[in-house]
Amino acid sequence: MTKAIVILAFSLLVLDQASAQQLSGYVSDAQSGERLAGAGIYSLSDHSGTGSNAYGYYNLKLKNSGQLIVVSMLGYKPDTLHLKNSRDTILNLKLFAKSSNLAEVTISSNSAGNTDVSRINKATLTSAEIKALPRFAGEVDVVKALQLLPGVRAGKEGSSDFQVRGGGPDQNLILLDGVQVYNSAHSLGLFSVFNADAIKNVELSKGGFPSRYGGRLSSVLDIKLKDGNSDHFRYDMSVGLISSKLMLEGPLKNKNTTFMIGARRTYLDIIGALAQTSAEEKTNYNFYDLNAKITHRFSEKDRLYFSIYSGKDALSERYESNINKEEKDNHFLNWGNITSALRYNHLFNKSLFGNLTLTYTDYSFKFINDYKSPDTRSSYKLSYLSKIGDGGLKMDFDYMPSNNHFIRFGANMTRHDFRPNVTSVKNIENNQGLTDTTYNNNNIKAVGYFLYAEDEIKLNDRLQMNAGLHFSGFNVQQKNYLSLQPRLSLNWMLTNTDALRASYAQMSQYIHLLSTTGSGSPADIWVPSTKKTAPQSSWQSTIGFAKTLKAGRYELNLDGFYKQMNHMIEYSQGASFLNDDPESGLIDESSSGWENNISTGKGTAYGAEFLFRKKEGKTSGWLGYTLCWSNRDFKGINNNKVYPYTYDSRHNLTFVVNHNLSKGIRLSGTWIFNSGLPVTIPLSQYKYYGESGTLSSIEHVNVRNNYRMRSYNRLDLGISFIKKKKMGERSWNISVYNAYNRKNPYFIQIGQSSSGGKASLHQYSLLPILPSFSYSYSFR
Amino acid sequence: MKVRIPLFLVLAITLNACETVTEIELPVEKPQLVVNSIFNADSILTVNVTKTQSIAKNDLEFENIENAAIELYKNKVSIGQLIYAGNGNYVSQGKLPNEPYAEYSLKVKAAGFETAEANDILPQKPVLGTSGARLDSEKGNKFQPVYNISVQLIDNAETNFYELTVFDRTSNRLLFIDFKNNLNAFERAVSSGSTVYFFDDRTLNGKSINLDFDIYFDNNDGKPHDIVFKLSNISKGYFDYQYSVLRQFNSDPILNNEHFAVANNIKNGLGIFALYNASTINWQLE
Repeated sequence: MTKAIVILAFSLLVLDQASAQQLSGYVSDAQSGERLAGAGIYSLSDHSGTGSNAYGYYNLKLKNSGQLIVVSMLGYKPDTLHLKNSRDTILNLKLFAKSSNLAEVTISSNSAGNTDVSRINKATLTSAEIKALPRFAGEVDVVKALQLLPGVRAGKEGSSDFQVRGGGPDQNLILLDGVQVYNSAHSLGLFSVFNADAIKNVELSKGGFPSRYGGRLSSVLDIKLKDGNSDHFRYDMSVGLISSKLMLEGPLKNKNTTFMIGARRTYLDIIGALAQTSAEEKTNYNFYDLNAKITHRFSEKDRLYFSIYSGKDALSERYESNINKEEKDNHFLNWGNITSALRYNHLFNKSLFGNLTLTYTDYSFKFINDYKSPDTRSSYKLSYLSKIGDGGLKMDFDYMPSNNHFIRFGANMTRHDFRPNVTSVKNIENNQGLTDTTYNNNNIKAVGYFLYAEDEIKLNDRLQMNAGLHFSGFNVQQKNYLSLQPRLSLNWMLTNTDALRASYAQMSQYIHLLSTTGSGSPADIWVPSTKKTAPQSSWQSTIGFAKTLKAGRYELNLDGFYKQMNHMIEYSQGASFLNDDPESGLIDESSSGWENNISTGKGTAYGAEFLFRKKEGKTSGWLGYTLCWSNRDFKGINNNKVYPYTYDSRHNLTFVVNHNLSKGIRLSGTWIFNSGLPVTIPLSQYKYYGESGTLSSIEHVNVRNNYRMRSYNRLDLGISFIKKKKMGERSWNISVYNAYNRKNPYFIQIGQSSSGGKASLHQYSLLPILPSFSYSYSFR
Repeated sequence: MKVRIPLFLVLAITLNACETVTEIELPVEKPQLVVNSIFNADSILTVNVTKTQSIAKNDLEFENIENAAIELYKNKVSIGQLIYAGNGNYVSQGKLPNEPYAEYSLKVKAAGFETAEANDILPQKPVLGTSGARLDSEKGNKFQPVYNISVQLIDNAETNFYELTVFDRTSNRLLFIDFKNNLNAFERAVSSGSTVYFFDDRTLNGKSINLDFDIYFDNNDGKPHDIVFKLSNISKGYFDYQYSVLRQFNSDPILNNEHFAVANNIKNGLGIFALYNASTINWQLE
């Protein structure tokens, strides 16, 4: 495989020798030095242009000397250059943000408008856009911002997982600086693990996936971390209701090396400890995350990046008897991710840009129950572990042979190490008879790999295409799964502002998430495809229309989609990783292995999305609407009939507004409406025919998701006060979550009516109106 | 030792902090016909017909269907109508013979409902070999004796499902059984201190094994009790029904993945139509 890539790269190098005069270099932010992806470099003389790649590199082929070049990027002041000579030129370009006010929203990191082929099925948010939104408990949240985009919806109330176009939460590939993140939430989903201060930009692909991505059926969330300010040191600190954050970035030694380090920690445990000093039972919870990145420039052609993320949640409940200190019953729950990437950038020649990346990711979920009773001379220790570790190597190349072709190709190999549900028990009863047993302590090792090639082609002035192939494989338990996935996106410019577009993509997914709650809990376990469990696969096609208005300040998108998903898995009816089995409890259930507790099936999702977005100005924001049907068809569930997916929500409407009231005051508001989600509720009961004449009743729940909960709607408001200070800039943010205190459904159960007599449905609502504040200071 | 589930704690912490409860009136679902019949060979077939009721109703007064017409078929040939015997029960006009592999079917017609249908095949009688009951003086006492029981089961090559009970005919109650074999058995607590065991023959197919278990019974009068060991060969439909009933009664819809639906073999209705064939052994124990 490596040999083939070298040969291909070599032939491309040879091909490049014959090219015309070239203008190449990097585009970066004039203030921070951050490289800018997606900036447009356009020759007014040749009527031809190109864009900068993910690392800010561009290469523009020019026909004539005496060129007038325009460099542009939304949110930045365009720059015009006059190029006189006729030789190949290296030119590093710096763009100035339209406003120097740090707090002002400079929308979108990508100059390519929504009518460009590279923008089909994509949504982009910058750190500034995310920070401008109202906050939840004082926290800026990347995923909650994404949930406001059409085609994306949240899981349950307050959760930081998301579903895209009727897919499951496990079908989203979440990449942090190119490394997969398995669990993207803290606090059982209330907060995402991504620290907005450390983020450069966020891009979500919902369909028509470029060939460079694979491994998930429904979306790719690509989060890029900041490289670190190469111009000056900068410190940001923020104090919120539940956590504080600190971020440092700046150059080191001759500005060839930059660093960025961001950390966040909650203080719920400290508050908790103060409140529980004398209690026998003490509950503590905290989470932290840390992002760090260091970048070193060896030369204009060579760059090395090292980034690391570490995040952990820790929950404990300790019981210690006041009478006998020896008596204890402690529960510990820990989960977290570690990811890291070591990336080497090399510019082979003006047309060929390469990346070699080593990746590592680790996710673990651990539960310990430690019980000791001196009275009964017994002790019991149960530990449960679910863990996944990946180590990978990938090579990616960007080849720009002409202004009409942008070719990407590469390869990836990842070694997975799964330990899905290891349970061990040590039990001593009455000071004798030690039981020490470990169940399911078997690693499943697997190797996943893929090759890809894609070309973004300008066929003529009107027609653009991204065509590619993604070939992937997964080797597990002596079984080798292979998949060849064609990808195609077409963009036909009807006028300079209107475009028709269509896409088709096939995807394969070799790992699955088994969820107990269906709402992104850390106890959900990642399991691989095995000999017995086939990989998931899907195809999705989309068709749409895009329009830009008022020189790109407004965007209008209308897209229709249809997605078919196969070989999906979920726990069989009533099964769970922690099922309290009626016979013997947790242990017997887990020892039987997850493969014996699953059902397989298929799903379909189809619908339409609408987005009208104002991207710049004093007032910005968007109106989004999604119409979606999402159904599942699983063997052994719902009498083998099709049923609506747990997150099947027909209408989803979002309205987002940011308004700069003055230079120092910014208002923001979001309103969201989702049709009610389906749930399974036993609406009737029938007679149980007991063995010895005992009469009981059976709940009639043979129809899955037979009842729709009430619709969900919520208004969030925020106001930020920003002031320039001697040392930098300070800002106060006051936010109100669920401003009109809507009692949104979280779950529904049958319960006794408060008036007595008949039972009724009880709707539980989780989050009422929640005001919060945060204070941040940015030193420069 | 009961394992406490930490996720519950987390949910409880979160929910207790913020939860509010709103009552919503239950929607009304169209009633369905419920047909229940568990039939032992060599006896009169009884079919109980009721209808579903709203989950909102707290009492277990299920409405009997008294005007149903039930036709019974054997190997797809009608063998007559069942007679209404009160309380929603319909009975056959005589005992049905013990003919293993005979297929029995029901068609239940009642005004306002679709015709419900069900069928099942009568399994073979289990073959029992030697057996013995021995008083365990270490475990029991005079008023609550414990007996170690051993019964040889000769399983045939077919796939079989079994139900095991021990009945104290003297005190008219099922006894508590402490099963010793590792047969992937599951147990249903019928009432306080009484159990029924179900197992399949995955681990013993075609073999002969000794079923070993202890039984406990109250013997306050000191007189011999008439104890009946009963092993029934049951159909897969009945085995699945019992397992799913057990799972539903014990599952938590929040913690578990969805509510557990009970297996149903009644077409256009709900309930169970199951045939079984039992072998028994009697002991006089005191």
